Amino acid sequence: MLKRNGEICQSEVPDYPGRLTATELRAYKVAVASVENQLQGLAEAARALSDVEKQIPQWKGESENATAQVLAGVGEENSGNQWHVVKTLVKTSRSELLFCSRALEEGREFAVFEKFDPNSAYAKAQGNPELLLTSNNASLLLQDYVESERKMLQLVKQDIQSAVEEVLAEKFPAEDNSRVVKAISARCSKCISPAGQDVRPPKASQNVRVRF
Amino acid sequence: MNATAQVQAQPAPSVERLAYSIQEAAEMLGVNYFSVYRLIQRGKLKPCRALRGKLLIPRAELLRLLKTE
Repeated sequence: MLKRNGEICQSEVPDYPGRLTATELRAYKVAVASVENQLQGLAEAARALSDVEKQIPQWKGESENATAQVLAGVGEENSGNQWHVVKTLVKTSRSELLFCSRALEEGREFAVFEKFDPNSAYAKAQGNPELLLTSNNASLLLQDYVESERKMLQLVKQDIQSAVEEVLAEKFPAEDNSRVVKAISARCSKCISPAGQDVRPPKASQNVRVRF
Repeated sequence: MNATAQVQAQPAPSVERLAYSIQEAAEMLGVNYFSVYRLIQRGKLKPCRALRGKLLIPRAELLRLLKTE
């Protein structure tokens, strides 16, 4: 039976291999409650991104076939060198991420735009929509997009972790909260990578030793 | 009217904050919570960090971004 500071480590929490003491579990519950909305948002964003990732081969095929087919019945139809919406990558209450393409003399150009609420202060000041990525290769563009979004989710994860540390330091200043932070960090990692692997796992974790 | 009454009658001075949380910044910009992280990632918005590393958006950065000229 493992004990820590005289307390039995017996409490299991989601996505964390270790066990927490009763004190740690209490801190864990307080911390999770304080970042519940962020955790939920992170999970939803990661799920949406995984869906996009799965559909990349299909979209790549669509975008590299005949030009008319790519745009048929999808998005806005404009004339000239205007961008056409091929797919909506992500849609939230205040913005949309759009995979677009346009015809050029030397071929096609692809882009990802973020379209904001036209009434937002940001859109009024900075213009709308905003170009995020552009390429003449749809597949590479979408892969770049996925990678960029994963990095963004990592940033969100780090920020959640910092917020958790702040809450724990304020509410449980006398306790060692390191395992609680690790447990919540593991939960965030699981949200980002449902398979249980981080985006870029450390090399050590990739080494598998087999003993006969 | 005594001195105490005079003090109470004066409106409380509005204190301008130096920095805002990501959620607050998103509200002020009228964008999604994740859009603020995208702006940070692309270098359009330069955050500062609180003691524990939590990201904050300086007021000056928000004003710079919302400046239309």
